Amino acid sequence: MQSSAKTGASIGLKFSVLAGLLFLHLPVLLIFLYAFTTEEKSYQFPPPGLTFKWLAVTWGRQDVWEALGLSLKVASIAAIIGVLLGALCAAAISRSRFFGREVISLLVILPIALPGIVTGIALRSAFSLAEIPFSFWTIILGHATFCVVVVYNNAIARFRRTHGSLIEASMDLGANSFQTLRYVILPNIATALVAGGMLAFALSFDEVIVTTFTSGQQTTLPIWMLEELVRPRQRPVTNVVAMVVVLVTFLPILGAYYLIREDESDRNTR
Amino acid sequence: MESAVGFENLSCHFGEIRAVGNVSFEVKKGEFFAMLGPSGSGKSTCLRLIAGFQKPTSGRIKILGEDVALIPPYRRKVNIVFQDYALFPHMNVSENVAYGLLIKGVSKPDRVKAVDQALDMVRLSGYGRRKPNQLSGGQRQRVALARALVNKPEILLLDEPLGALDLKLREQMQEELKDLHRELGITFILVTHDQGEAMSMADRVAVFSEGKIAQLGTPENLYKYPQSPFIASFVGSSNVLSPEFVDFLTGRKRWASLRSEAISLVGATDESAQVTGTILSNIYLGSSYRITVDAQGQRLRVLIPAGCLLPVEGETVGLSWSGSDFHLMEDELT
Amino acid sequence: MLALPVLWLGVVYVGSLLALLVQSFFSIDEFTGVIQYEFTLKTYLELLRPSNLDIIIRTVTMATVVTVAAVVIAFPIAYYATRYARGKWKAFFYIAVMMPLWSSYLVKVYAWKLILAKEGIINWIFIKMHLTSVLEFLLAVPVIGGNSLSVSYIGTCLVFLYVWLPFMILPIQAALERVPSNVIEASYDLGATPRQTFFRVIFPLAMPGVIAGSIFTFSLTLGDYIIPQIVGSSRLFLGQAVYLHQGTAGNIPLAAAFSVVPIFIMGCYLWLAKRAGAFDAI
Repeated sequence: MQSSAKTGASIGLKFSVLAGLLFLHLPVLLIFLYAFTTEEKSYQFPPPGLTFKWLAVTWGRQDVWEALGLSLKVASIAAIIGVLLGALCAAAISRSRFFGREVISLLVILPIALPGIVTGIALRSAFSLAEIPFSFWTIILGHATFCVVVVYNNAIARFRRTHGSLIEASMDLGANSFQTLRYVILPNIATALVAGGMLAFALSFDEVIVTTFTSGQQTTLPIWMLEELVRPRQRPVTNVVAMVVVLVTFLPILGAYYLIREDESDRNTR
Repeated sequence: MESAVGFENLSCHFGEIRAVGNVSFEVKKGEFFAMLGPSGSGKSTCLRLIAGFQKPTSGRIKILGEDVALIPPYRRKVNIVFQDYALFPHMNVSENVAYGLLIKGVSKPDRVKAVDQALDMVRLSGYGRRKPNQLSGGQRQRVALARALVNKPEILLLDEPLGALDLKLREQMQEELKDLHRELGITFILVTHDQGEAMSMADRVAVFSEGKIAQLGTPENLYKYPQSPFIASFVGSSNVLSPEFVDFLTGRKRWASLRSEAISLVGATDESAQVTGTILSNIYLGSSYRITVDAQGQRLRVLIPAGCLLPVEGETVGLSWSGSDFHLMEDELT
Repeated sequence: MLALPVLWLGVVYVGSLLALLVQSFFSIDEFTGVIQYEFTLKTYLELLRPSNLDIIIRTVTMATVVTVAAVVIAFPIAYYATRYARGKWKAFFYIAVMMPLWSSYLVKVYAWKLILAKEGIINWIFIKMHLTSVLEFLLAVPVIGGNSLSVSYIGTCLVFLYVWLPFMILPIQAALERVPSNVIEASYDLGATPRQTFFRVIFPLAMPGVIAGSIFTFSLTLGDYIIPQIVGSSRLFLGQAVYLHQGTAGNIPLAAAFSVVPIFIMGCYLWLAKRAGAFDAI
């Protein structure tokens, strides 16, 4: 869209862009301020004073550590399952033209097109119909459904760009299916898979809607936060936990971004 | 004759890169003008400058005598046919063609009439309801043409309009464009990298090279009297003779050109032979043979009609031509 | 090789959805509270009760408002990022939209609880600017107002808008990136001003992106039960109704019937969008 005849953006456009971006970013930044406030009972602004005390208090809280541990465990396993199944699904759908291909590609999109609560309640009623008790694994099952979708979406875009002839060339040069996978397909889609996995991790680490329906008595970090949100007991600790969550999800998202970007530039120079 | 478009000392830079450097020329009203050159030679930039999509770094452009520096593209009395047609994908053929009239506020009945006429002119009557993606390349090209012409522009710009078409269709469209130009009597400015297209359609051709006009003239003029080795090799099937070879023949160390069909083969000892050479190859072209000869280290291509006595490879032959076909270039050693 | 993921998604997900659908055709005995496993449309009829219908209308209205507001805010950002941002700025815009999209949902909601609180930053700003009367006037408006921003529909709407906004920006940006520059130039060449070009060419061609974005914002708003629970009045939204009926009330059939509503609405929406030709330009 390069054209030097256009005369730059109008003031009105620039202003609405700036306002929109501020709207997107200021609220989360505010969390960082509140994590250090001395005020315990209300959300007073501006904070009457600043302190590091609550970092230490949160550090000593057993329930926060347990919730964090569970969340990290769930997110890691769900992301790994997501990468495995998402990649297989993408490979199958991009390569073959079998009957029902359209149905499957629609299926994979459903979990994002439908509200999370539908997924959640659907899983819950399925568990109760099948008399499966809630456990660590029912949480994983719920999370894996959307992790698969995230990885699938990342991988399918890459598969579409990798030409089928590449695989045919590998086969023609004498590689068997496994060697083709190892030396041709994987190197081509690896970054997409890692990026998808990171995003899946961030999403799962943060998921609350499906989790409430599938977790039973267990408390992940988002569930812990939700309880605090509905019935605030320890506002300062919640502030600190919120800040930690922002920081924990920030890194995989940024990492995924750089991975995706690198191949974009690869593609441009190719 | 009045001027349709005039460039005065025009330069256009993209950052560090110079796309057009200090170019001046004039296109006459009603003329079919072609800008010819390899890709990156600045010809497309010149077209975009006329349309107003690009702004000059320095210099002036006049359209119909009026300086257009401050006139945005949508107020200029020119219309363009884009290289890949740029049809609006969300509108059908009729809506595409009617767009310019709609913007101008032409009433609906008048619009319908004008669109019908325009589609008729490009022989697409009955295609009005189709979407661009339901048309073939040639049909899209005609829609783009109708969409521009329906606005009755004084000047029609054509940016490689036939580039995406196959050979047969291209030749057919060349004739149609030529006919249209004759019928409408407006100015056509064509950008192309295909010398055959420029030479066969245009009244005058400007050959671009590295952001400058290398030569401007009628097709015949360019063909017969190229001013530089670049023109000679780009425009036609002329032999470009190296200064060393010309020095050997004439004693003047300059570039020269000699058209392939102007050379005839004679016996090696024939007194009309200006030089002798060895046959390297002969290739059958249907109506003629193209023979490559090596003479004093200079390769020459010679066209002789099929049916003549054919020399064999390795044979030594004499080459002869008339002095008027031997063209010394104006450029000194470049 | 394909069998495993298909089995996973097919059995777990579609199986669950079907189980849900089946449940919505059962009913609950009003006295004993026991689910009666017999086919009936009674549960669906219950949706048409005034109190339940109110919930549906309230949620759909909210989803519509949020979607329209999201388009209004998202379009300039997407447009600027595509048409004007280059090089480093382009990367900046990409990150600036990606970060809020993926960052924690609950933290975002929590941030707004801080912002909208009576003692929070918005009130403070209004006081500092001596505009308290404006805020009070806004809160005094019936229906959308309330005691404070954090218990009003204005607040709920703001949070929805904030949380779903990136879901609107990205598809619009993707659609705008696909608009060829020469089509825009063609419009200028045919005499259309930048304004006319925007409304007749650029916006219609960005429409698939707007539709895709609105599918997200609409669907996400319809199904959310956390935001209205934390910021807003005590009146229920669709998601909350589902949550309450399957939980404390134990009325799974009604909860199932309620959750069929967003599926049905999304289906209608997609069908209408397709009929209106929103996807034709793709």
